Amino acid sequence: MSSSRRMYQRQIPLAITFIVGMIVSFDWFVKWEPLQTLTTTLMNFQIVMVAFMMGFAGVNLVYLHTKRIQRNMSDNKLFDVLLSAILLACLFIWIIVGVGIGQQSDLYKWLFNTFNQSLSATAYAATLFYLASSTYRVLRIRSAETGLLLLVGFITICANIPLFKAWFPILGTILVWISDGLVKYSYRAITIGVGLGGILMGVRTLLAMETGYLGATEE
Amino acid sequence: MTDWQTSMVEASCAHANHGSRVREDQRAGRISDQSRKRKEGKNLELVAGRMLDLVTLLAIWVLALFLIYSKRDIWIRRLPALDFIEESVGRAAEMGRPVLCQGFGSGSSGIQSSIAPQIVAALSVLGHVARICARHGTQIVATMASESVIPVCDEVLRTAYRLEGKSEEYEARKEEMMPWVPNQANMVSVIYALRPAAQILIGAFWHESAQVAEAASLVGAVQIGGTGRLYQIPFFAAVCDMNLIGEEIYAVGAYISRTPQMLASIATTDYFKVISFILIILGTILATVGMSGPLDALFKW
Repeated sequence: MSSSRRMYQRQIPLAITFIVGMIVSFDWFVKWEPLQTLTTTLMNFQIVMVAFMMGFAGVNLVYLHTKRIQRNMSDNKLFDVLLSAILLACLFIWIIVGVGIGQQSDLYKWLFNTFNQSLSATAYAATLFYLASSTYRVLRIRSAETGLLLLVGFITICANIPLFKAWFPILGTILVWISDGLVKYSYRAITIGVGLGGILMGVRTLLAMETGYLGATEE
Repeated sequence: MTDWQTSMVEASCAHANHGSRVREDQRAGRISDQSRKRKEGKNLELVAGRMLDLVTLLAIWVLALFLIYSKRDIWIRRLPALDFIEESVGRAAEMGRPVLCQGFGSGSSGIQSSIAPQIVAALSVLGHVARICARHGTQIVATMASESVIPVCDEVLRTAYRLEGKSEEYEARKEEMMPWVPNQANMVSVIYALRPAAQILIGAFWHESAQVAEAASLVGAVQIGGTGRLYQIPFFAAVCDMNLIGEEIYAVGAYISRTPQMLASIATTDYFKVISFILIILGTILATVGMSGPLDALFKW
């Protein structure tokens, strides 16, 4: 990589990251009008960039699927053509209705409730089947840890069944001890670790040690 | 009365009212408050209640910089999940099936949102996996959920293939390497379509974690899962073969690069974990004996 290209691709973005990162970080701790104005401007700039990126992604999607339709038509893959055509039709209908008529219009709400919401609910509901399948596989004794997991899982399931709880009231107490004791403290320990890890990731990013966000790793 | 005469009278009345208000304020002792409010934001002030955060952040910076520039030998424990990557890519090469990487944001949550650190960690892993895949000639597929991550992933994959001297291969297969997969239904359908031999799930996940991990298990893929999102960790722990728990995903970059500077930053995390542990013990003792006042005051500082 030539030095000028390296400068454009690496040094300048890293310098911008450091400056912007420091400004935005200190805005949280300091109340100073010029700094607040600068932070707001930077945040607005980010919103504009993301909006542009989204528009660009939309254009790219149209380009990609138009090409795919042409290629699949010549290969006689009609099902693939249909899928790409549905995607493009949905994209244009949502843009026309959303931008042209407005997001508060009845047509937009009908489209959202009829298609988007019902499809999302279906996809979400499918989680249940995957959970049941994974639970079946998990609850088998393969080692000491999985044996312990099976025991805890068995107690938790039994304690949530009203009949079992009525027969063995101690199950409720054990469940509370597990959820309010062991689980809560484990989660808090993980939260502390994640928080500290996130801060140090930020420090590494500002110091130009973590360059994954620039797409340059291990070079 | 003409318009200009009316406005003159209104202006003089307003002036007189203002004068009387000022005198009232001076009498009531409110003038200092008013001028303070007017000046608020003009002078540099520290926000009350965030002093402890600021001091902690500065302490982290100082310790991190000290450890980075002192160039000490720092030992980092093994992360079996990362060592398992090479093995899983080798398995994929033997089976002639792809390696699937997922976890680069979800919908509108991309590299510009609060999950950015997790995405950056996922990108470090992607770069590492892509190099191994390029070396072994294994197909890699990285699904993109957020438009803000696409150009970054493109660059990560391009760099990885360039470093292995296979830029042409990347340019020829770029389109199929980065499918846009906006939601969990697509993620699952990609798994069934590709039937990957290995799946690497590192990054931020929501409820799709269970579906995606289980679907890959059903097609016989070995899996490495890791997320900083608390409530998705149990799903990965249950389904994946190897796990990175919580902050371990942030250590990936350091673990892979093994540079003293990166390792020093991981050591900083551990020092602060020890401090947190001491504070927890101290807090427990003080709360038990009913003397938690100073500690409460410190946290409200």
